Amino acid sequence: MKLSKKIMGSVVVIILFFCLSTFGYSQEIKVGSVHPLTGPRALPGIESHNGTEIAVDMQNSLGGILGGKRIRIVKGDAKDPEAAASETERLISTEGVKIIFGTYSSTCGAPAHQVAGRRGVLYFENIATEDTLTQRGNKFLIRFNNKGSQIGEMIADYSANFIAPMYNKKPTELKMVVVRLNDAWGTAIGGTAVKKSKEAKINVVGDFPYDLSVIDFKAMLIKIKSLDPDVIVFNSYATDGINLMKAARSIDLKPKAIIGSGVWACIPETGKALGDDANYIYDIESGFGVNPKYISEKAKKITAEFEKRYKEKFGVEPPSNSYLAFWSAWIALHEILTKTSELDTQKIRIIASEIDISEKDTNTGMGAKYAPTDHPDAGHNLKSTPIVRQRFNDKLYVVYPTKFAVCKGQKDPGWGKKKVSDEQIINWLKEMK
Amino acid sequence: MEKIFIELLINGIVLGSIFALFSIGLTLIFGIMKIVNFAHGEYIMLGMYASFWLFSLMGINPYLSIIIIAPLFFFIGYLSQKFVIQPILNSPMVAQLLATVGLGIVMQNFALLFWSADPRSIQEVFIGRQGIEMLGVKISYEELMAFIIATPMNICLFIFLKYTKLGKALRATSQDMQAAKLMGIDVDKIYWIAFAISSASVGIAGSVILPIYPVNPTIGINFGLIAFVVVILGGITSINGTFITGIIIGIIDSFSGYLLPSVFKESSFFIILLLILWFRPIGLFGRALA
Repeated sequence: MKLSKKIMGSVVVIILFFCLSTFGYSQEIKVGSVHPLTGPRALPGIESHNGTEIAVDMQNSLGGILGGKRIRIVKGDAKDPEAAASETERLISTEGVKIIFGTYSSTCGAPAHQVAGRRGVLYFENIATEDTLTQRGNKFLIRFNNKGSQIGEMIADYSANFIAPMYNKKPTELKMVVVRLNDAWGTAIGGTAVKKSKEAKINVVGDFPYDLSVIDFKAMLIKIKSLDPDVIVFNSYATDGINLMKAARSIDLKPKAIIGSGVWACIPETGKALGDDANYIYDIESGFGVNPKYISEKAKKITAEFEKRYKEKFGVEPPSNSYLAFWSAWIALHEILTKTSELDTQKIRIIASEIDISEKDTNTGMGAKYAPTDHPDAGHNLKSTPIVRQRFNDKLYVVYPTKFAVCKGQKDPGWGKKKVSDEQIINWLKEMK
Repeated sequence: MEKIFIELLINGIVLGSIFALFSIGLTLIFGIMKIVNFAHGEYIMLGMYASFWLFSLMGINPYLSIIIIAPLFFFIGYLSQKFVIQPILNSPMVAQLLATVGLGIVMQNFALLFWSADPRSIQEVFIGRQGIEMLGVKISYEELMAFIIATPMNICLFIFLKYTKLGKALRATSQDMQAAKLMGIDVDKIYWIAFAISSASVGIAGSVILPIYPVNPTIGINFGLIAFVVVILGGITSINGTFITGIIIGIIDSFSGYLLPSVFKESSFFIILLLILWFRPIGLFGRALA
């Protein structure tokens, strides 16, 4: 009798335990965040993860997703392609995630997408730009950002139609050199910049791919100096971008315009390394800060909330990568994952193809319309567009496309003469009004 | 064309002196302790960070910060040898390799945890001064300082090893550890001194490199790789060989960066390394083993 009471009591406890844990589990949904958190891409990787985190916080405060479930992020460190694949596998197999946000890097993103795609897991790619990512038939990949070829095309477009006339030159008279990382990302952006610039009849006099392991760039830049370029494109990450600029200055390499495509052009560290000589750099890629007159009140409110939360949580102003990752995750969470209560990735993918967010509803110049699964670029954002910004006193000002611009592009006065006063900036901003 | 040749040559010599500066310490460890220190690059990285924070927080000029960094890194080297290297000295080579690789990873992640992945750089120390002109080629003061500091450092180390009692003890230990013990040399003490001197020289290198290159937690890998090439090519036990080979590698790097497509630049000195080792396995200035 005593024994059977004990057994009965144990069974009741066990049943209660499972009921309670099941009750807790059904109110929460785990999503993966796969970004480089260590290694050479850690700076932009962490920025991207942070943007995703704020989107999750904001959506949780509005009631979560998929029928009121609270979102919990589980992180994966995609420090290199192998780690990206194994971390994605771990999140899917061990943590049971069906939705992943990532990756910033094309090199790391590609294997991660493949792992997720094979397992039918939705992958919201925020920033990786390699063109072929959305051309591999992965039905579960959705990319918010531009393709590298779009950025390369914008580099060619702006150089031919704005920089050349600024110096009273025709595109054929404008000499361009492209210095780019020798990886998937550099090939996507810098390689396309070379191709599209040639198509725009710009005189491309050099294409210089380099490895991330290079420490000293002086010899390469001495060669570039002998080509006497008007425009140099530095398609680089952070440390190498700063290194290139310092080396260019040390040998007095003086192009008419320096175009940055990569995180180095917009981070405060570039300003700390170069001082006033960081001014007048063009940053051509995806970004934020379009003219407030152009964007909707809804976008302004969301942006303000994001910026407030970001500063409170991380103690700094959000950088470009965080804005992009935020909008990518926000649109996924708020516009797609609230439209159903079922965690059915096939169904969610169809919903993703049906949304149509105006470019006025974000501050990036981009809307969101994801190509359906039968499109050659399945999952790519058909409303993505790069913007051109110019750097003054560690801030970036949109100069192109004209409808987004807050000021016009300014002529670079050369090393040692790049000091810009607040008054000058105010006058430039007024000119656009 | 002549001007470009001179510019590349001068750039190569200056670059080579930087390579020599951060490779000398590895020669000491390699030559005396027969330990392959895969964390060598991370010591350079920490040296750069130490100099950066002394400059940023206390306004101390990187060249003056050597006065603080040299003894600090001497002590760090002593601790590393005592607690990481000494316990595995008699272990199989695989264990030794893994220990130094592990040490390097710990140092990288320490830097990442405390200082983030942001690249850190300082503006040129001699702001407003453009540098000197030599044979029509501009050399920044920062690069000139690297050359000026590397050369006497090499000379001092050579004199120390050649003419001082402690230096002779270090050389004796590198030649034959057992014989050195029999002669009454405290080999354990020699080992920590070698590691500490190596660490101090790398800390000095970090201070000198920072005004030229930015630092981030993973930069040590790049420096470490070059240091290994320089040391192996120079002949593992030869300090002078390391200095001269550093200059040679710098010149090769400079000319190959100009003449070859950029993607082949890094492989040029590895190809030279393979070719030279093919004909002279002990390196350019190495001693033949007994």
